[in-house]
Amino acid sequence: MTAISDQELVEQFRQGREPAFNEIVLRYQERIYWVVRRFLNDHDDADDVVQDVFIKAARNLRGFRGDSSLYTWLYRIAVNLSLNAIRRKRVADFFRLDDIGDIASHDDIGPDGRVEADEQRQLIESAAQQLPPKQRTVFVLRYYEDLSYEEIAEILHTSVGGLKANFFHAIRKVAEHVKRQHGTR
Amino acid sequence: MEHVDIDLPGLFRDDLPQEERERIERHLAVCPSCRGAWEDIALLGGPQRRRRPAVPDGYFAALPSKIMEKRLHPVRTNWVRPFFDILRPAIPLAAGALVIIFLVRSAVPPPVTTDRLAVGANEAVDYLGFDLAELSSDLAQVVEPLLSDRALASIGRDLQETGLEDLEPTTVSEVVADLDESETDELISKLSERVIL
Repeated sequence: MTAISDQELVEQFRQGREPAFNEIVLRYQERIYWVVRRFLNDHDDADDVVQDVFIKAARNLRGFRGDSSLYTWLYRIAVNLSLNAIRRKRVADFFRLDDIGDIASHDDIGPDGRVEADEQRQLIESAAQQLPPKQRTVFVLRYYEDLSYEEIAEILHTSVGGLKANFFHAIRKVAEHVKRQHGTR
Repeated sequence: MEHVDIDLPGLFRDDLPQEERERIERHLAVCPSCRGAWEDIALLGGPQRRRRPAVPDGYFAALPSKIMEKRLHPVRTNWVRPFFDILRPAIPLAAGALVIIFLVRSAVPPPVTTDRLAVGANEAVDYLGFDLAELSSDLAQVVEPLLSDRALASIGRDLQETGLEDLEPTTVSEVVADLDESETDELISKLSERVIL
């Protein structure tokens, strides 16, 4: 049995078939979640944004022209909403002094309350959080999500050459941060 | 040393074509600068790139229905909440300031007010003991605006300045009746000069 294509799902949804949208969610929820999670580094924040990504997608899907692939389009929404969430969080944290510290603490504790042992992963994540938005975006999409430069260029509407430079700078900065942290221990 | 156009991060991502990988490795063998960069970058390779933080059990199974629920019953965004969050630290300060203002105000004796003077504000005839109709037009222009509540409070302050602050409830007519001519002139003079409206 041939799996139904993204474009067919979009068409079905446009014709009012709700299950088609549910299928789109099932198909992409994990990929979108992990992109958003890598940006926000917190499950609850990521959960909110992922829901918003699909709600926004549903609202705009009727106007989706299919110039890009569906997942590229979803990634673009996810990146934009994640960057917005980061900005909002920074503003809120600036004023809400008593809640500072929550940002980094969520991932340290697993569901069973155990402190995760993966220090290197956390070092990389914390370094990635310090990157400027463009470098951070490229870093997340390339380093974690394994997207090609061409795919990222399509998502961000930018050139492959610029992305390579951004990714290289991002990687160097993260690597330097990790080395520095190792050096101070 | 001519640097090849290399995708160093691609090395640890294992997604480079074999030829490209070999070309980069040959270059690294002879180029200390690129090798140094690669040694830094190689730190980020390995299993941690694939390792993911924890996700609550059953999260992805429940996500589609959560999204559907939110689509069908959107929660109206509470745009007031972020402002409240920002202002929240200031609430105790504002409450303290209000208490201080209340205490300071209660310590200061109340000014002579229209209530205290018991002026019938609408009774123009009694106002300052004069009938407006009998006043000259110049003086009427001064006195007419004084019929407002704000103006009457102003009169109260003028009476204080003329030493009549301890008045018992009375009408302005009664007050003025007790003034001698010079005091009346002084009062009218003060009222005339004051910008009250």
